[in-house]
Amino acid sequence: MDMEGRWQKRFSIFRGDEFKSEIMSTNNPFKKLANNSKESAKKWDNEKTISSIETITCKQCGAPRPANTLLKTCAFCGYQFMDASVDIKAGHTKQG
Amino acid sequence: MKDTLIQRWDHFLEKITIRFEESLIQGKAAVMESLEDNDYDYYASYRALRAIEMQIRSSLIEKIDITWIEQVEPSMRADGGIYWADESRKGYRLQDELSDRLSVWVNITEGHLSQKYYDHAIQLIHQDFKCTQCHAPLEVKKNFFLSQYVTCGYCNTVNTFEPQTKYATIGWNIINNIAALHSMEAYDAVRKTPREDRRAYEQALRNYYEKYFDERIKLMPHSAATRERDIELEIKKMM
Repeated sequence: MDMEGRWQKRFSIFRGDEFKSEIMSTNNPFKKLANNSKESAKKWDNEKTISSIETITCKQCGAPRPANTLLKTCAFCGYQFMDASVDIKAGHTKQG
Repeated sequence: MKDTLIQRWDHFLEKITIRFEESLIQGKAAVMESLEDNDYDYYASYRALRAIEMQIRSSLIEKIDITWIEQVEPSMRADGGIYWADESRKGYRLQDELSDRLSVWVNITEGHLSQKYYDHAIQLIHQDFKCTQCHAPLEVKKNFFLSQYVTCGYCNTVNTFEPQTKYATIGWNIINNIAALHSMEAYDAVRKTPREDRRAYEQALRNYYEKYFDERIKLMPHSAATRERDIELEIKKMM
Protein backbone atom coordinates (compact mmCIF):
# COMPACT_ATOMS: atom_id res chain seq x y z
CA MET A 1 0.00 0.00 0.00
CA ASP A 2 1.44 3.40 -0.94
CA MET A 3 1.66 6.40 1.39
CA GLU A 4 -1.64 7.89 0.22
CA GLY A 5 -3.42 4.57 0.67
CA ARG A 6 -2.13 4.27 4.23
CA TRP A 7 -3.32 7.80 5.07
CA GLN A 8 -6.72 7.09 3.54
CA LYS A 9 -7.01 3.98 5.71
CA ARG A 10 -6.04 5.88 8.88
CA PHE A 11 -8.54 8.65 8.22
CA SER A 12 -11.29 6.19 7.37
CA ILE A 13 -10.99 4.82 10.91
CA PHE A 14 -11.74 8.26 12.33
CA ARG A 15 -14.67 8.70 9.96
CA GLY A 16 -16.06 5.33 10.97
CA ASP A 17 -15.85 4.05 7.38
CA GLU A 18 -14.00 0.94 8.43
CA PHE A 19 -16.66 0.07 10.97
CA LYS A 20 -19.35 0.69 8.35
CA SER A 21 -17.68 -1.38 5.66
CA GLU A 22 -16.98 -4.17 8.15
CA ILE A 23 -20.68 -4.37 8.95
CA MET A 24 -21.61 -4.42 5.29
CA SER A 25 -18.98 -6.86 4.16
CA THR A 26 -19.90 -9.49 6.74
CA ASN A 27 -22.95 -11.54 5.86
CA ASN A 28 -25.77 -9.06 5.77
CA PRO A 29 -28.66 -10.79 7.58
CA PHE A 30 -31.20 -8.70 5.68
CA LYS A 31 -30.00 -9.92 2.30
CA LYS A 32 -32.20 -12.98 2.72
CA LEU A 33 -35.29 -10.83 3.18
CA ALA A 34 -34.41 -8.88 0.04
CA ASN A 35 -33.97 -12.13 -1.90
CA ASN A 36 -37.30 -13.47 -0.66
CA SER A 37 -38.95 -10.31 -1.80
CA LYS A 38 -37.36 -10.68 -5.23
CA GLU A 39 -38.36 -14.32 -5.57
CA SER A 40 -41.94 -13.76 -4.48
CA ALA A 41 -42.44 -10.76 -6.79
CA LYS A 42 -45.52 -11.09 -8.93
CA LYS A 43 -44.95 -11.04 -12.67
CA TRP A 44 -47.57 -8.82 -14.25
CA ASP A 45 -48.85 -9.84 -17.68
CA ASN A 46 -49.50 -6.26 -18.74
CA GLU A 47 -46.02 -4.96 -17.90
CA LYS A 48 -44.72 -2.96 -20.83
CA THR A 49 -41.01 -3.56 -21.30
CA ILE A 50 -40.43 -1.07 -24.11
CA SER A 51 -41.89 2.34 -24.84
CA SER A 52 -43.90 2.47 -28.04
CA ILE A 53 -45.25 4.85 -30.65
CA GLU A 54 -48.49 3.96 -32.30
CA THR A 55 -51.00 5.61 -34.57
CA ILE A 56 -54.63 4.69 -34.81
CA THR A 57 -55.63 4.38 -38.44
CA CYS A 58 -59.01 4.41 -40.15
CA LYS A 59 -60.43 0.94 -40.65
CA GLN A 60 -61.87 1.96 -44.01
CA CYS A 61 -59.13 3.95 -45.76
CA GLY A 62 -56.13 3.31 -43.50
CA ALA A 63 -55.39 7.01 -42.97
CA PRO A 64 -53.90 8.14 -39.66
CA ARG A 65 -55.61 10.90 -37.68
CA PRO A 66 -54.20 14.38 -38.37
CA ALA A 67 -53.95 16.92 -35.53
CA ASN A 68 -56.97 19.07 -34.64
CA THR A 69 -59.54 16.80 -36.21
CA LEU A 70 -62.62 15.18 -34.74
CA LEU A 71 -62.25 11.85 -33.03
CA LYS A 72 -65.53 10.33 -34.15
CA THR A 73 -65.04 10.47 -37.92
CA CYS A 74 -62.14 9.96 -40.29
CA ALA A 75 -60.87 13.31 -41.63
CA PHE A 76 -60.05 11.72 -44.99
CA CYS A 77 -62.98 9.49 -45.93
CA GLY A 78 -65.64 10.45 -43.37
CA TYR A 79 -65.90 6.92 -41.95
CA GLN A 80 -67.72 7.00 -38.63
CA PHE A 81 -65.55 5.56 -35.85
CA MET A 82 -68.23 5.80 -33.18
CA ASP A 83 -71.88 6.54 -32.74
CA ALA A 84 -71.95 9.72 -30.70
CA SER A 85 -74.40 12.60 -30.73
CA VAL A 86 -71.74 15.18 -29.79
CA ASP A 87 -68.56 16.10 -31.65
CA ILE A 88 -65.48 14.87 -29.78
CA LYS A 89 -62.19 16.56 -30.37
CA ALA A 90 -58.86 15.78 -28.76
CA GLY A 91 -58.13 18.21 -25.92
CA HIS A 92 -54.39 18.40 -26.43
CA THR A 93 -54.54 20.79 -29.38
CA LYS A 94 -50.88 21.80 -29.13
CA GLN A 95 -49.71 18.19 -29.13
CA GLY A 96 -52.48 16.92 -31.33
CA MET B 1 -27.97 -7.26 44.06
CA LYS B 2 -29.67 -3.99 43.01
CA ASP B 3 -26.52 -2.64 41.35
CA THR B 4 -25.86 -5.90 39.54
CA LEU B 5 -29.41 -6.06 38.19
CA ILE B 6 -29.32 -2.43 37.04
CA GLN B 7 -25.93 -2.98 35.44
CA ARG B 8 -27.18 -6.04 33.57
CA TRP B 9 -30.28 -4.17 32.42
CA ASP B 10 -28.16 -1.20 31.25
CA HIS B 11 -25.85 -3.57 29.43
CA PHE B 12 -28.79 -5.22 27.70
CA LEU B 13 -30.22 -1.84 26.58
CA GLU B 14 -26.80 -0.79 25.35
CA LYS B 15 -26.46 -3.97 23.30
CA ILE B 16 -29.91 -3.42 21.79
CA THR B 17 -28.91 0.13 20.83
CA ILE B 18 -25.68 -1.02 19.18
CA ARG B 19 -27.45 -3.79 17.31
CA PHE B 20 -30.12 -1.30 16.24
CA GLU B 21 -27.50 1.07 14.79
CA GLU B 22 -25.86 -1.80 12.90
CA SER B 23 -29.22 -3.00 11.63
CA LEU B 24 -30.06 0.39 10.16
CA ILE B 25 -26.79 0.39 8.21
CA GLN B 26 -27.16 -3.21 7.06
CA GLY B 27 -30.85 -2.80 6.32
CA LYS B 28 -30.28 0.22 4.13
CA ALA B 29 -27.42 -1.50 2.29
CA ALA B 30 -29.61 -4.56 1.61
CA VAL B 31 -32.50 -2.43 0.32
CA MET B 32 -30.32 -0.29 -1.94
CA GLU B 33 -28.44 -3.30 -3.35
CA SER B 34 -31.66 -5.17 -3.95
CA LEU B 35 -32.71 -2.66 -6.60
CA GLU B 36 -29.89 -3.78 -8.90
CA ASP B 37 -30.33 -7.44 -7.99
CA ASN B 38 -33.99 -7.42 -8.99
CA ASP B 39 -33.46 -5.45 -12.19
CA TYR B 40 -34.99 -2.25 -10.81
CA ASP B 41 -38.24 -3.75 -9.60
CA TYR B 42 -39.07 -0.89 -7.23
CA TYR B 43 -41.93 -2.66 -5.50
CA ALA B 44 -39.84 -5.74 -4.70
CA SER B 45 -37.26 -3.48 -3.04
CA TYR B 46 -39.99 -1.58 -1.23
CA ARG B 47 -41.38 -4.84 0.15
CA ALA B 48 -37.86 -5.75 1.30
CA LEU B 49 -37.68 -2.39 3.12
CA ARG B 50 -40.95 -3.06 4.92
CA ALA B 51 -39.90 -6.61 5.82
CA ILE B 52 -36.62 -5.31 7.25
CA GLU B 53 -38.49 -2.67 9.24
CA MET B 54 -40.75 -5.36 10.71
CA GLN B 55 -37.80 -7.55 11.59
CA ILE B 56 -35.95 -4.71 13.35
CA ARG B 57 -39.13 -3.83 15.23
CA SER B 58 -39.88 -7.36 16.37
CA SER B 59 -36.35 -8.60 17.04
CA LEU B 60 -34.98 -5.49 18.75
CA ILE B 61 -37.53 -2.87 19.78
CA GLU B 62 -40.20 -5.27 21.05
CA LYS B 63 -37.51 -7.36 22.68
CA ILE B 64 -37.01 -4.59 25.25
CA ASP B 65 -40.59 -4.96 26.46
CA ILE B 66 -40.53 -8.75 26.40
CA THR B 67 -37.23 -8.98 28.28
CA TRP B 68 -38.44 -6.48 30.85
CA ILE B 69 -41.71 -8.28 31.52
CA GLU B 70 -40.36 -11.82 31.46
CA GLN B 71 -36.98 -11.46 33.13
CA VAL B 72 -35.94 -8.09 34.49
CA GLU B 73 -39.07 -6.90 36.28
CA PRO B 74 -39.64 -10.15 38.21
CA SER B 75 -35.97 -10.18 39.34
CA MET B 76 -36.05 -6.54 40.46
CA ARG B 77 -39.38 -6.92 42.24
CA ALA B 78 -38.09 -10.00 44.02
CA ASP B 79 -35.05 -7.98 45.08
CA GLY B 80 -37.32 -5.52 46.93
CA GLY B 81 -37.61 -1.73 46.86
CA ILE B 82 -39.23 0.37 44.14
CA TYR B 83 -36.21 1.16 41.99
CA TRP B 84 -37.73 -1.10 39.31
CA ALA B 85 -40.16 1.74 38.37
CA ASP B 86 -37.29 4.01 37.21
CA GLU B 87 -35.69 1.11 35.37
CA SER B 88 -38.98 0.37 33.65
CA ARG B 89 -39.19 3.96 32.37
CA LYS B 90 -35.64 3.67 31.06
CA GLY B 91 -36.66 0.72 28.89
CA TYR B 92 -39.86 2.29 27.58
CA ARG B 93 -38.07 5.56 26.84
CA LEU B 94 -35.52 3.70 24.71
CA GLN B 95 -38.30 1.73 23.02
CA ASP B 96 -40.10 4.96 22.02
CA GLU B 97 -36.88 6.57 20.85
CA LEU B 98 -35.89 3.60 18.67
CA SER B 99 -39.40 3.29 17.29
CA ASP B 100 -39.38 6.94 16.29
CA ARG B 101 -35.94 6.63 14.70
CA LEU B 102 -37.03 3.55 12.80
CA SER B 103 -39.97 5.43 11.27
CA VAL B 104 -37.67 8.24 10.17
CA TRP B 105 -35.21 5.68 8.79
CA VAL B 106 -37.97 4.08 6.69
CA ASN B 107 -38.92 7.46 5.21
CA ILE B 108 -35.31 8.39 4.43
CA THR B 109 -34.46 4.97 2.98
CA GLU B 110 -37.62 5.03 0.88
CA GLY B 111 -36.53 8.45 -0.42
CA HIS B 112 -33.01 7.25 -1.26
CA LEU B 113 -34.39 4.10 -2.89
CA SER B 114 -36.72 6.23 -5.00
CA GLN B 115 -33.87 8.53 -5.99
CA LYS B 116 -31.78 5.56 -7.13
CA TYR B 117 -34.73 4.20 -9.09
CA TYR B 118 -35.38 7.62 -10.62
CA ASP B 119 -31.75 8.04 -11.74
CA HIS B 120 -32.00 4.73 -13.59
CA ALA B 121 -35.53 4.92 -15.01
CA ILE B 122 -35.42 8.54 -16.17
CA GLN B 123 -32.91 7.53 -18.84
CA LEU B 124 -35.15 4.87 -20.33
CA ILE B 125 -36.76 7.20 -22.86
CA HIS B 126 -33.53 8.87 -23.90
CA GLN B 127 -33.82 7.42 -27.39
CA ASP B 128 -35.15 8.51 -30.76
CA PHE B 129 -38.84 8.02 -31.40
CA LYS B 130 -40.10 8.35 -34.94
CA CYS B 131 -43.46 9.08 -36.55
CA THR B 132 -45.21 5.87 -37.57
CA GLN B 133 -46.18 7.40 -40.91
CA CYS B 134 -43.21 9.43 -42.22
CA HIS B 135 -40.44 8.34 -39.78
CA ALA B 136 -39.55 11.91 -38.93
CA PRO B 137 -38.18 12.32 -35.39
CA LEU B 138 -40.82 13.07 -32.75
CA GLU B 139 -40.46 15.32 -29.76
CA VAL B 140 -41.72 13.28 -26.83
CA LYS B 141 -42.42 15.43 -23.79
CA LYS B 142 -39.94 14.53 -21.02
CA ASN B 143 -40.83 14.32 -17.33
CA PHE B 144 -44.37 13.37 -18.22
CA PHE B 145 -44.91 9.83 -17.08
CA LEU B 146 -48.16 9.02 -18.81
CA SER B 147 -49.18 8.21 -22.36
CA GLN B 148 -49.25 11.29 -24.55
CA TYR B 149 -50.27 12.42 -28.01
CA VAL B 150 -47.33 13.60 -30.10
CA THR B 151 -48.08 15.37 -33.36
CA CYS B 152 -45.52 14.91 -36.11
CA GLY B 153 -44.11 18.28 -37.13
CA TYR B 154 -43.70 17.09 -40.72
CA CYS B 155 -46.84 15.15 -41.68
CA ASN B 156 -49.22 16.35 -38.91
CA THR B 157 -50.13 12.79 -37.87
CA VAL B 158 -51.14 12.25 -34.27
CA ASN B 159 -48.95 9.56 -32.72
CA THR B 160 -49.60 8.01 -29.32
CA PHE B 161 -46.55 7.57 -27.16
CA GLU B 162 -46.92 4.95 -24.46
CA PRO B 163 -44.01 4.77 -21.98
CA GLN B 164 -42.69 1.47 -20.68
CA THR B 165 -43.88 0.50 -17.20
CA LYS B 166 -40.56 1.23 -15.48
CA TYR B 167 -40.62 4.80 -16.77
CA ALA B 168 -44.32 5.30 -15.98
CA THR B 169 -43.66 4.06 -12.42
CA ILE B 170 -41.69 7.26 -11.76
CA GLY B 171 -44.93 9.22 -11.93
CA TRP B 172 -46.79 6.92 -9.53
CA ASN B 173 -45.00 7.48 -6.26
CA ILE B 174 -41.27 7.72 -6.91
CA ILE B 175 -41.49 11.48 -7.34
CA ASN B 176 -43.62 11.86 -4.21
CA ASN B 177 -41.01 9.97 -2.17
CA ILE B 178 -38.15 12.10 -3.50
CA ALA B 179 -40.12 15.30 -2.81
CA ALA B 180 -40.81 14.04 0.73
CA LEU B 181 -37.12 13.26 1.23
CA HIS B 182 -36.15 16.81 0.30
CA SER B 183 -38.81 18.22 2.61
CA MET B 184 -37.81 16.24 5.71
CA GLU B 185 -36.80 19.34 7.66
CA ALA B 186 -40.18 21.00 7.15
CA TYR B 187 -41.91 17.70 7.99
CA ASP B 188 -39.94 17.45 11.20
CA ALA B 189 -41.16 20.95 12.13
CA VAL B 190 -44.76 19.74 11.62
CA ARG B 191 -44.13 16.78 13.93
CA LYS B 192 -42.76 19.08 16.61
CA THR B 193 -45.68 21.54 16.46
CA PRO B 194 -48.56 20.68 18.82
CA ARG B 195 -51.86 20.20 17.01
CA GLU B 196 -53.65 22.13 19.75
CA ASP B 197 -51.94 25.33 18.60
CA ARG B 198 -54.01 25.41 15.42
CA ARG B 199 -52.48 28.52 13.86
CA ALA B 200 -48.90 27.37 14.39
CA TYR B 201 -49.79 23.86 13.22
CA GLU B 202 -51.46 25.13 10.07
CA GLN B 203 -48.47 27.35 9.33
CA ALA B 204 -46.07 24.42 9.80
CA LEU B 205 -48.21 22.33 7.48
CA ARG B 206 -48.28 25.11 4.92
CA ASN B 207 -44.48 25.43 5.02
CA TYR B 208 -44.14 21.68 4.56
CA TYR B 209 -46.59 21.34 1.68
CA GLU B 210 -45.17 24.38 -0.13
CA LYS B 211 -41.72 22.83 0.03
CA TYR B 212 -43.05 19.38 -0.88
CA PHE B 213 -45.00 20.52 -3.95
CA ASP B 214 -42.15 22.79 -5.09
CA GLU B 215 -39.79 19.81 -4.97
CA ARG B 216 -42.36 17.79 -6.90
CA ILE B 217 -42.66 20.49 -9.56
CA LYS B 218 -38.88 20.36 -10.12
CA LEU B 219 -39.26 16.75 -11.27
CA MET B 220 -42.71 16.97 -12.82
CA PRO B 221 -43.12 20.52 -14.18
CA HIS B 222 -46.68 20.05 -15.44
CA SER B 223 -47.85 19.59 -11.81
CA ALA B 224 -47.21 23.34 -11.29
CA ALA B 225 -50.65 24.03 -12.77
CA THR B 226 -52.37 22.61 -9.68
CA ARG B 227 -49.85 23.72 -7.02
CA GLU B 228 -52.12 26.06 -5.01
CA ARG B 229 -55.08 23.71 -5.13
CA ASP B 230 -52.93 20.73 -4.09
CA ILE B 231 -51.48 22.61 -1.10
CA GLU B 232 -54.91 23.74 0.14
CA LEU B 233 -56.36 20.25 -0.25
CA GLU B 234 -53.59 18.61 1.76
CA ILE B 235 -53.83 21.20 4.55
CA LYS B 236 -57.60 20.75 4.71
CA LYS B 237 -57.16 17.00 5.02
CA MET B 238 -54.77 17.38 7.94
CA MET B 239 -56.64 20.04 9.91
